[in-house]
Amino acid sequence: MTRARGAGPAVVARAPAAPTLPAVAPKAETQERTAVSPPWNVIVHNDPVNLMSYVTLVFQRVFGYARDRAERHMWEVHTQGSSILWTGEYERAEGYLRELHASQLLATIERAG
Amino acid sequence: MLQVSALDGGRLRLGGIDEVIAHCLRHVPAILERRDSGTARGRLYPDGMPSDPRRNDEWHRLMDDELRHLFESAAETFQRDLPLLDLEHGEIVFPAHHARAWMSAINQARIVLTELHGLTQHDFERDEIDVDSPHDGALAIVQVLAYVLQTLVEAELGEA
Repeated sequence: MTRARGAGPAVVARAPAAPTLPAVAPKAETQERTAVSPPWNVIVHNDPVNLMSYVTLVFQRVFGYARDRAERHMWEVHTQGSSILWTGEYERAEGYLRELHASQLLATIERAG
Repeated sequence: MLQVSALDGGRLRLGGIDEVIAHCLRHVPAILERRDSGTARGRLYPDGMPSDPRRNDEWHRLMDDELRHLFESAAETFQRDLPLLDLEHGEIVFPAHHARAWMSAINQARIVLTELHGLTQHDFERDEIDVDSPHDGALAIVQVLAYVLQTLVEAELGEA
């Protein structure tokens, strides 16, 4: 601080310019981004044809889950009718959805909350 | 009993194939030609975002062709390997990196038959089938293909 103030008139002259930038801009931008990008849930739904072991394998492949976690989700799909596999930003949710459909699982994404 | 074993040179051997299993495997390409029939199409190209019609339409516009390409590519790989089936020894040997294409093609066929014949959870839990019924004939093929798929999946899970 002391050195900046003593650096000469040019520095002092530029100093007032800084407040012309909206001080709250970064926060406002963050809030806006948060407002338009709520988290999305990746949901897998039960269907009569896909094998439990196949569904477990797909969960491991697509999400990188350990086998026990993949099996927990598979059982939830089987017994509850659906399971939320992942929650997060839209682009990644869309990528997971693509992989799940490519593996012929019934999956959807929807806004969380 | 079906068994998968890894061979030298990055190959897989699927052994224990009898005439029934061979018949069902050879039937897969013909089943997949009906991929776009009736409800099969809707099941293979499902809605991705049903709660948001605009995004859902966009999803179909962007993804249906890509999914079709993936499904057809897997089916072509499977079909190219099929002539390697050696019924005399009850086995087929194919490149290990084709295993996922095999799983995709077999599962697609199971889904297509399930949709076209209206098979339900109740059907899959039945102990007996009527051999003269086309509905039950489809159920039998779906169940035999399930056995093959289960064997391939267990082999891959065992390595995971």
